[in-house]
Amino acid sequence: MTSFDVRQNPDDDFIERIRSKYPVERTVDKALTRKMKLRSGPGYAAVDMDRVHRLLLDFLSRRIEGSFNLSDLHPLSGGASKEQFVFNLDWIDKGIVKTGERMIVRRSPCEASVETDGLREFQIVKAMEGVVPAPKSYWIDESGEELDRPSRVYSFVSGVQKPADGVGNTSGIGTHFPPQLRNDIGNDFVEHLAAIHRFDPAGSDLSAFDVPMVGTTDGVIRTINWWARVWEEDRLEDVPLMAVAEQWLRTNAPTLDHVSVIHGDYRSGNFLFDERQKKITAILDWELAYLGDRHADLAWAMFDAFSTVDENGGTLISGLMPRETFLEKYQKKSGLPVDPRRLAYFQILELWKGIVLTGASSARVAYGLKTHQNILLGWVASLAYPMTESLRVLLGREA
Amino acid sequence: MSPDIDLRLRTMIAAMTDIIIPAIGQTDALATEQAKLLIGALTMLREQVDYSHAYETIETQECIALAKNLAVIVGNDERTLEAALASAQTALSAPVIATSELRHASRALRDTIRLLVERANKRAPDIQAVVRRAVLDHSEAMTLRERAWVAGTGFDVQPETLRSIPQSLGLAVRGEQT
Repeated sequence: MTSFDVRQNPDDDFIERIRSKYPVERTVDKALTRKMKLRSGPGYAAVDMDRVHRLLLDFLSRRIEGSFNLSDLHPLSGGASKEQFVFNLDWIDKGIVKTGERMIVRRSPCEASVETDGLREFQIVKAMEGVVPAPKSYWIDESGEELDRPSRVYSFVSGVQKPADGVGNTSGIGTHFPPQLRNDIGNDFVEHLAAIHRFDPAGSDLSAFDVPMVGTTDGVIRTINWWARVWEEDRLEDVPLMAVAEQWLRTNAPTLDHVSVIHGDYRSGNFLFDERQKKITAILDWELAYLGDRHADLAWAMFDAFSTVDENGGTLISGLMPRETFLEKYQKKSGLPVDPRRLAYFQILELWKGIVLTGASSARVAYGLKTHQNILLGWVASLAYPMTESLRVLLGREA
Repeated sequence: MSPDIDLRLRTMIAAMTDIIIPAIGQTDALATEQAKLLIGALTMLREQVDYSHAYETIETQECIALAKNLAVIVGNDERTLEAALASAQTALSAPVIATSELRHASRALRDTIRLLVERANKRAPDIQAVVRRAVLDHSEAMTLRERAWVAGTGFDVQPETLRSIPQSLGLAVRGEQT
């Protein structure tokens, strides 16, 4: 059996060998182990909406006291890593009568391109209520026993992912914002990131997360282990540069100076906004969140791959503003310093992680035909190549 | 071979564009998005299909060169490396061979290259630096090829260093397709 076959049909020995080689957070380990145990199982099958309706009624009846009415349940397009369904709910929420409250179910597919523990997403979204615009967390089926697969129910937030006259690739990557939107949306983009990083996680129930220690490299090493493990589990083929980059990252890991909530995928495409009011209405896609170094989110948001070019040929990070403006505003709004050395380190780490997510995980899920978005994931897997070129250039400078 | 692969791909793209997407209309956003991605994927396949074998051949040749280079630097006591090298060289020397055989050979070599890099990580820093430089040098041509291969996705944001597929493979650019 080739290594390729082992990854598609992993036995317990293979799974355990990788687990022991790369120690990660408890709930990350749980999610990745679950993924590997389900890897050889069935792929995507068309959703039976009658079944989803029936399961959801049972699920809600166990959580809502008194009568309720569920209506207009249907799948929501978009979203590369989770199945999403929206519905309206008439119910009484803590004594308040709510009519036609729009909600969304985010359900894990057979295998996701971003395989994470649902409780992490649920807890972090709850913790962010009142900190930044985000959906409200209602209920969770952590094990998937009730809704067939792990699922979370949130309030539905209105808004658009890209401007009506904007262009961009799939998943909001490379979204172009017209000049009249950039300033206001850009200010919100920085302000919310600053608020996320300033937020003190100690006061919230974030029991699904392991807290890294300030003054040590424990957290960043765990992050490297996370993505090294995913690379080992998911890749269809190895890339020599990835092993070299991993070693460089381990050797040069910086100590942590401040524990922040890290969104993990902060970029255009992962927030909704109101085009008329020029306001961000929700920060979405918290599944990759963890506690760690703020420079990770900064580096990710500044990726070339998510950038656009303005009318004068200048680069706009996440389609919104020049890099220098982004960093200047961020420091002003957050009160947290940006360390150029740390930022340079995390640019390499985040590129390496991005290659894992696209070149390994997205490709693997598409190969296994595991989701409703297989063709999209096969497309997104190609993003790994320009990222590899960026990684090569940055590592070359460090070498 | 007639109808050839290019003709089939062209008719698939035309069917998607002229018949299927209009039939989907605006009623199903997910189906419309996937239909458009399908056109994009078919268009890329048209660009790639003539070069697939050349791509895998060059990939295998360069993996052999890197593996041999690293084995000299860190020492070769991997039996898997010898086997992977022998398999790759057999594939390359075969007068006619399936493209997938070359791909399997280069993938096996990539796995052994990782073992060599990991072994180097346990050696002195100067050995690690030499290995890092060798891999970086190898990666330059590799990423040039890979980026050209998927340029049709529109993800690449460094057009000044982007090449066409035949250019990235060191081949003469063929005539325009109709």
